[in-house]
Amino acid sequence: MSNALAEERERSILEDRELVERFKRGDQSAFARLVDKHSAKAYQIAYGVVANREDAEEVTQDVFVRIHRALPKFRGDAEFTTWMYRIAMNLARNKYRWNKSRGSQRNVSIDAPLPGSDDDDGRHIDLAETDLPPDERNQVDELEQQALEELYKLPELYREALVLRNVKELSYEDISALLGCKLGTVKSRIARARDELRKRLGL
Amino acid sequence: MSENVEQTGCPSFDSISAYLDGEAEGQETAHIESCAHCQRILASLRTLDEVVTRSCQPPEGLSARILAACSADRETASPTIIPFWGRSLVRYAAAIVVTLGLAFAVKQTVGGTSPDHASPTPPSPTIADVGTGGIGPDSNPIDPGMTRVVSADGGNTAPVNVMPVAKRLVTSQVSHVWGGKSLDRVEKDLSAQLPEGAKWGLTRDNAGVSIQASLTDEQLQKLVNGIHAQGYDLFSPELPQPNQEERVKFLGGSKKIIYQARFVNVNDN
Repeated sequence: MSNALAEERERSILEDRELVERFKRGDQSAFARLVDKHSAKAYQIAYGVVANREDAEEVTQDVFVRIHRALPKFRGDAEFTTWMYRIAMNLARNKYRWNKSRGSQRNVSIDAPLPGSDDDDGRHIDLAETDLPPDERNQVDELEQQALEELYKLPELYREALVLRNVKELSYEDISALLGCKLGTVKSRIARARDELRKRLGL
Repeated sequence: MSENVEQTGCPSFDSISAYLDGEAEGQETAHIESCAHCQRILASLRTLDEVVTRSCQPPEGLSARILAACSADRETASPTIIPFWGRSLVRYAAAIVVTLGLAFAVKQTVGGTSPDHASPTPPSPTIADVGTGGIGPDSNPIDPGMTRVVSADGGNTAPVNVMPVAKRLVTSQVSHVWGGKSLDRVEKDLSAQLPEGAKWGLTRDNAGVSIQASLTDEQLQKLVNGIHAQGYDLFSPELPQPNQEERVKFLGGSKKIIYQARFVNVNDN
């Protein structure tokens, strides 16, 4: 990590500590600042796991509701972001597993046939195609849309690692701690995800 | 077209990928920085990262919705809360009362003929059990025992061991999958349920019916209730759920939600 990045990260950590202390003293605006600062990262983590916008937003809301409840008791043994990433990862995985156990169509490939149907009968639920509202869809260029679709199709392990990497500030070490695997495994999963996507997108 | 990564003398693809993340080894760094082939791969990876990052951007207004959800949760959790340290005292008090009650009952049974107990005082109502306050089947697995909500009457009624139901905002886009025994009437059923003037569209294919509508959160809750009342089963867990208004924090106003529903046939025949 470059010196400039390390300094920026250090400043951010110090700001988080101050915001947490202010919130504990009753300053609600400090919590709003924490949400502003970190909600996008929590969303990206959730998105990397559940691969679905609505679920990712629901998980993100839940992450901060739980943080809001528990922050007065937060001792600061770990950095705020480490704590937040862990909650986001756990809740997102819970959501993913719950969806999976309920047979939700939203976590399956966009080409997946309906449950119980034959593979070749052409009965497909094209939810991914309608995942974005029309006005938003128009704003997303073709490559992004394609990248999103291909990202959905990556194996869960690769997708999680790559999306976590794209959440700025998350080092291989952070990702390794979050995913509970070795540094070498993180490096390899990220590379595999990139290689696969790069090939599929023709980059 | 993808650049071929197999080139003699170049570091592995894993190493080039790690270089992009500032995690490469010193020796490899020197090669990658001076090799045109590695630089081309690196350029494609940078483009890929930008595209992936852009495609995972959070929706607009996310922070505001999170803050509203936190606020709603705080309102929901407002009943009397016995703090963690206070629960121990309550448990001890309850244990003492129960023990005394039992001792009294035993004494009544064993020494019932004693003139001292000729007119026994009926046992006074006790707290009997205020719950363990610990990790029970109805406690929250993630925040075990952090808060315990009891009724505001001081616990004189039946013991309460209930976690508050946290209200949630409906997300800006909701997708539901519904099952119905027949899909012939979907259009007619929906027309009857949708509010007047609502923008919506319907498409039908071999496998089912898809609709998209733009509604406020309250209109959507009513629509979901209405569809359910027509005999369709909702398979998706996302809010709003039929007849579960208590789980939703309604924003009111005219902010529209994009609602996408897919109706599939679940007829066993």
